[in-house]
Amino acid sequence: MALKLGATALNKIYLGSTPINKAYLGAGILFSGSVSPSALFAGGQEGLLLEAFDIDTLFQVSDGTIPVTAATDPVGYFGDKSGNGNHATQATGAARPTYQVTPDRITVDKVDDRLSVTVPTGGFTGTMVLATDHGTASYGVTIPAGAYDIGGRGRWYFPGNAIVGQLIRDGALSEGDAAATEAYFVANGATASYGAVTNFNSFWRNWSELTTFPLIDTSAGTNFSIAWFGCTGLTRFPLLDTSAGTNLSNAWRNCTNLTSFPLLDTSVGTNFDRAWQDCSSLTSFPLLDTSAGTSFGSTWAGCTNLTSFPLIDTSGGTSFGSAWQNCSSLTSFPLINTSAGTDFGSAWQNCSSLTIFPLLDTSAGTSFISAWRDCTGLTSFPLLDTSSGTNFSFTWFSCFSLTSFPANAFDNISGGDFTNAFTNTALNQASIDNILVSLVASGIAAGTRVFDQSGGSAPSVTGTDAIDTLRSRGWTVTVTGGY
Amino acid sequence: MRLTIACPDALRDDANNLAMILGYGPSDAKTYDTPNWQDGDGNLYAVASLPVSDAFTTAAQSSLQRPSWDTDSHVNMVGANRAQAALVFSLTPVAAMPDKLTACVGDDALATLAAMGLTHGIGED
Repeated sequence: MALKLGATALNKIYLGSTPINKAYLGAGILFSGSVSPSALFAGGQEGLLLEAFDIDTLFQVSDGTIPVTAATDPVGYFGDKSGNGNHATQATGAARPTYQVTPDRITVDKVDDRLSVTVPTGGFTGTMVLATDHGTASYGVTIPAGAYDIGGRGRWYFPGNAIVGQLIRDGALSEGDAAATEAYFVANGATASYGAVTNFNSFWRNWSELTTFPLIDTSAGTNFSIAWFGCTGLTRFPLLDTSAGTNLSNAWRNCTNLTSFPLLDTSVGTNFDRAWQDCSSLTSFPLLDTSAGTSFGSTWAGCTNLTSFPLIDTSGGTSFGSAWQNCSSLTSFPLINTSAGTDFGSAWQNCSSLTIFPLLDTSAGTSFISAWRDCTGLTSFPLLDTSSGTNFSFTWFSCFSLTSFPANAFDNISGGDFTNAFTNTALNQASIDNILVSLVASGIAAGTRVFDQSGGSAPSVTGTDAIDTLRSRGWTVTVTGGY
Repeated sequence: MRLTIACPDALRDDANNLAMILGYGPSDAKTYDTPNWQDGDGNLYAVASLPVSDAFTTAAQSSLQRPSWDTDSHVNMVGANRAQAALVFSLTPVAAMPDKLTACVGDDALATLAAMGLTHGIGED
């Protein structure tokens, strides 16, 4: 039944500013909002409107022949209902998605299936409403002219397993129109909310066309790995519910234009590997709850514009390999709890703006390979506990400004690989003496026994005596001055 | 049933010729596209997954005939026959082989690829 104002059928009615999907007169439906959003293109706006529930728009072959008639039929042509002729097609047989029913939808295998649209000159800057079997949402988008994949970026990444409907309009939709379009797709079989999804792995990976991301329900999500990887068009991120998320690895990696990040609930997250790697526009980072985190490998690596870092809880962290590598704008580092850390390889490599380093607890660390390499601003170094350390190769390599190093630093270490550990440094004589004497005190006389220093001062007699002792224990020692 | 096929990089040209014979036409020369899946030994594969009929699997294992549309000998029949000779068809997932065109039955293409020992890495898009 159509609700009319005079002779004109109403497409929408509102309660205040909220569009109404259905209105009843008694038990009968007086108005149904399930009116095709094709009217959103009535002013000649560019874009496309795809409706899997209109089987008349579906064909098996990309030239629009052989109608789709039954479940499991391949879909090589998905007709655009916007009036713009931006049909989605697939010429290669194996790459065609399949039609399914109850509800009507186009299922993608997330391996090689994709339908492509040729976006016209000028591209689309506006709104995309994507309705899937997993959820429905509206996004801000900027899509350049050329081929554009419907049904997953690069064939693989898609927030669901099937398309029920998709609208892209050049020119942003109002909130009301976007909500009405979502409701229309939901009324025709799409799942409304992402609230039941637990695994968001790769859902929006490499969707670089997204300029805004909606506040969808992600409260059931446990796996967010790679979910927004490469969303390079996003500058902000909404306060999504990630309170159940345990795996956040690679979640926002390579979101290179995020300038801020919200205080998400990450309190049960255990895996933060590469979560914000290469978020190179972030200048600060919120005090997230990372207290359950165990793995922080490369988590903030390449966040080249972070100038400060919060005192987050990393007390459960065991892996810090490359965690802050190339955070070259950090001018200070907080006294976080790293007492459980075993891998510190490259953890602060190339943090070139640090001039001092805090007295962190590194007592459980076994690998310090390249840990402070290229920290060219450090002039001194604290007396860290590296007693579990077995590998110190390249640890302070090219710390050009490092002049002062404490005594007794290596008295109780567990291994003697110092290959290029102090190459290209500026150690003063007391410091190189401190180091050599401490290595003697370690008593290491087995396994790898290599020590390298260049730059700075040559050791004094105290140091050369220590070298003699080390060589007698099988060490290969290279120092400034050539002793 | 759904068939998921792993094609070693070196067999792609031959396999795409076979795809043109078994499929719809010249556009099926792009069936095995970028080889960005890999096995545990680092061997690269292009993959395809599609629903097929019994007739398809029968045709895939029968003597190959030049398609009627191929009036200008676009299809390399020698290559297609090489691909067919390398075809391994299995009703359950088996490990992808670097010298075989491994085709496995399974409803979930991603799960089948995982069971074939193939992964699609982060930096390989």
